[in-house]
Amino acid sequence: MTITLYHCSEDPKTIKKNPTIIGVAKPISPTGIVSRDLPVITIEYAGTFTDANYMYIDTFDRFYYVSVAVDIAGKIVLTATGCDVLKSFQTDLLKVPVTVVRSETAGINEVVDTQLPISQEKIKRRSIPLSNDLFNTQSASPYVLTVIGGNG
Amino acid sequence: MSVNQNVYGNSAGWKKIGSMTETDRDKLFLMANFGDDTSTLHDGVLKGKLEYDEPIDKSLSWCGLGNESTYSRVEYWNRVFNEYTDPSTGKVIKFEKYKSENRLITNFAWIFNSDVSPSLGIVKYSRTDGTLNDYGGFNRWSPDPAFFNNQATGNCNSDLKPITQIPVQNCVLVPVLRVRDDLTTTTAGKTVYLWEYLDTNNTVNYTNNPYITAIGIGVYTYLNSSQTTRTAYLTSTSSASGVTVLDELNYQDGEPRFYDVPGDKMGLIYSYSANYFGSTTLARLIFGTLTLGMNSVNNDKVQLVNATQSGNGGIVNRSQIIPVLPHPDAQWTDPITSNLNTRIYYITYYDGLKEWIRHQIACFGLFFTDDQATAESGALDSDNMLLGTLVDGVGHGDYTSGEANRDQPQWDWKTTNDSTYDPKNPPKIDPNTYDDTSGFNNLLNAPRGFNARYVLTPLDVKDLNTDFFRALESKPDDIDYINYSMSEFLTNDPLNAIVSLKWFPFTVPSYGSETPIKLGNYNTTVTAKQYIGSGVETYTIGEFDLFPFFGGSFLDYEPYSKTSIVIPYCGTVQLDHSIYMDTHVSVHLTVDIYTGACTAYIKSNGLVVDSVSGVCSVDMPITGIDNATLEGQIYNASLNLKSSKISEGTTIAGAGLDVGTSALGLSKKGVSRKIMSGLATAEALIGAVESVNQSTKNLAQNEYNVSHVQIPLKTVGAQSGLSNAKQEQFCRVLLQRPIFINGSQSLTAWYGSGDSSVYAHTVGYACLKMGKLSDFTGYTVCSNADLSGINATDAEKEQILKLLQSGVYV
Repeated sequence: MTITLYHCSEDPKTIKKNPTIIGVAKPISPTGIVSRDLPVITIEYAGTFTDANYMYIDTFDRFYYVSVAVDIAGKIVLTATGCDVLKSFQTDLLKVPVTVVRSETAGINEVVDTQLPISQEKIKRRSIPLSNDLFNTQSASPYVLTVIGGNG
Repeated sequence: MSVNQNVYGNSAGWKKIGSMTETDRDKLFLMANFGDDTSTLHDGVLKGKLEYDEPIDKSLSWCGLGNESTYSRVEYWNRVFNEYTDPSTGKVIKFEKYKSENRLITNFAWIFNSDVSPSLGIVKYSRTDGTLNDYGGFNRWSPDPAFFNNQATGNCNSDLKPITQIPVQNCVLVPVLRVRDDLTTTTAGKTVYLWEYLDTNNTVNYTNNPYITAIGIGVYTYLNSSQTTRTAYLTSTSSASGVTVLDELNYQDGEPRFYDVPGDKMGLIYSYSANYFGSTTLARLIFGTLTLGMNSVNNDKVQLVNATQSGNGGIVNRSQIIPVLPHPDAQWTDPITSNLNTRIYYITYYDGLKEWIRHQIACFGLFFTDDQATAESGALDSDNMLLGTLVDGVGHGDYTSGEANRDQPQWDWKTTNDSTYDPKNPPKIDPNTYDDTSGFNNLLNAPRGFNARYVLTPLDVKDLNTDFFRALESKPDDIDYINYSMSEFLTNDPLNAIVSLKWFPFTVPSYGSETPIKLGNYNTTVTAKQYIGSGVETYTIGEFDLFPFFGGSFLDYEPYSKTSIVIPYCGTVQLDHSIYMDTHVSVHLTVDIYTGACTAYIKSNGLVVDSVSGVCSVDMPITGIDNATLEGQIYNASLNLKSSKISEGTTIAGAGLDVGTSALGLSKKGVSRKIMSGLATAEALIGAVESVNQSTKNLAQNEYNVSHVQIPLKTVGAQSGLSNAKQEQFCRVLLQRPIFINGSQSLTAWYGSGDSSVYAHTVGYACLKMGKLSDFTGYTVCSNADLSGINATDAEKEQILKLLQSGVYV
């Protein structure tokens, strides 16, 4: 089992993380079973290791967020706080068929976006007068007289 | 779908047509094999594959011909010269369009026949008992009504051989025309390819032979793989090939089969011979008359039956219906004035003819061209090679050309048997005809009744008012007012001659020259033009484009954006953005000149969507002498006066008599009256004097009444509201648009603001797209994902799904 230690400053929601590698270490304990879900591993001390917040365990082929502590023997205790499932399964995950409902770059204008910050109170009002000659020309003969008989 | 091999034989045994030397069967034209190398429909019956009086299997139809095809609109014309009365039914028959088909989809087959007479067309028929061949198309009331009919000449379908395979990659269709240079003789026409006809250097071309009597489809093919030039194939002169309709025909339904057997009516039929559209001059017609079964009918002319003639030329012995593949502009003409029962069905060349032909051929869904070089050697994706487009297997006349041919499914067909079209279960076709514009009724001519309508200026109204009050002045002295009014104004009151006076907020159109305004028979001194229009005038009173201010996004639609339009005299209408957005909006006002009612129609790109009604005239009341009342009052007053005068004389005489008789104690009417006392006599004397005084008083009063009859007035109509006329006299569009919280008033401004990028990165824009996650970048929220391909635990998958649904950065 080899542990690769990183410093990761990227948002946990990022799939394609590029953490900065700090070093590689071998566990010195436990010597028995190591949990895959939330492993706790002790490694030899190295000054740079205390900056780690992220690790990769090749045996499990998973990335973990990690909490670093130093025990009384001066060893570094790495306690996984959670598995980074996005990074761990990045390759397969990117192939997954999905229906995307919100996107930073692929928005569709026609889809109603109820979260768009539109003012509930302010409204822009405009008007367009539509000109016509019918009603706006001086009427020369506006009367219609209907009579019985006549020339009709 | 493939041709049904249970009916038409195993495909491996289908027979080659004609002289093709090709050995690859996928490149051959093949026909049915009902067994023992027999191919005719008659053979099919003998082999037990087909049944008389039953429609043959439709699987021969590799596509459907849409309603646009002439095969879906076949017309049937009666074939009688002049009029003829059917002796069995009494029905008058004359040369006219008798019926026409109007199918949404027509199933068809290409049929081949090698027994052709160049002069008479296809005339060789086998009787169902297999005995004889019959020649000629005589002795039939109509094109043979059924698959088999012993009373007719025989089974006319029997010699027709259904084509079961067309090598799609080795078949190029070309248009062929039958044309002529005159319409006054029966000289035979000329057969030319369209490319020849359009070439003015060609001997026969559209300029010197402008009349087209038939259009057919020729076939070009490589006779074998070693050839580099396609040649004409399935030509008509030696081996006629035509198209026949496989669907039910109803044009004979209910008609007598023979004149001499009046009770023998025909019903729905499946008569392939009657609809075999091919001839000795042109194969596979798409326009023109039909040769089969009719003597002296070919692609040049038709011979109508002379009802008065006996023998073969007579009505008993001739077919009575002429099937026609129509063209919208086609006409009939009589080429010989001395023999009017010969007629020519034709169109005259026009600029759009080539395109019309293309659309018709395209319905068959095969490769075709009207370019000679392409027909002879062009690749199937060359520029001038066309390919009919099939929508759900049905050809509606559209086509592709060149490289685009590769995108059509037929590109991958080897033969027509690769089609997936199922003629037994054709697709649903929308039968509606769409026309997204609407107009107004230009034929309206509203009834005018007994009224006349004059269009007046304000001065005219003033003058008429003056004139009208003088109307009674012209009454002759020897005629009373009532009779004068009746004769002049058609009523006992002149005022009743006026029905209404309306004011409109625009110049009312008038026509003709000015004439005196006539009330009944009375000519006023005022002249004016009359309104003699349709009764309803139409005006366009505004138009604008409803601009998608937010680029057509959801912000351009309700409830975010709204538009209403205020229309004078009609009110306010809110426009539905889902209909009007990004269209040209126009407002049209129709005004009923008779009543003043108006309706505004609002159109979106020429189509009426909304309407709202109102009133745009004002009724003007007219007040005048109520002559009828006046006459009545004068009459009554005069009557009272006369009565008073009579009463006064009588009273004075009576009073004297009363005094005398009282004094004498005698009754003035006889002895029954008792003698009154002295006091009573004195009272009677006083009363008599008072009575005389009262009569005199009544007379004076009635004389006064006669000379002081009050002139009664009457008002026609009532003043109606004018307040609408004070509003703006034009339409006004009111627009309401949203504003972003940061103040941006357009998408451009929003996108230009820093807020938009933050919003995109942290919230994301609404989106409904499907794809792989890697197709997206940046902040992405998924509604769902298929995680079955990921080798993670269930808990991990659940975690992944929650992350995708709450948003991740890709």
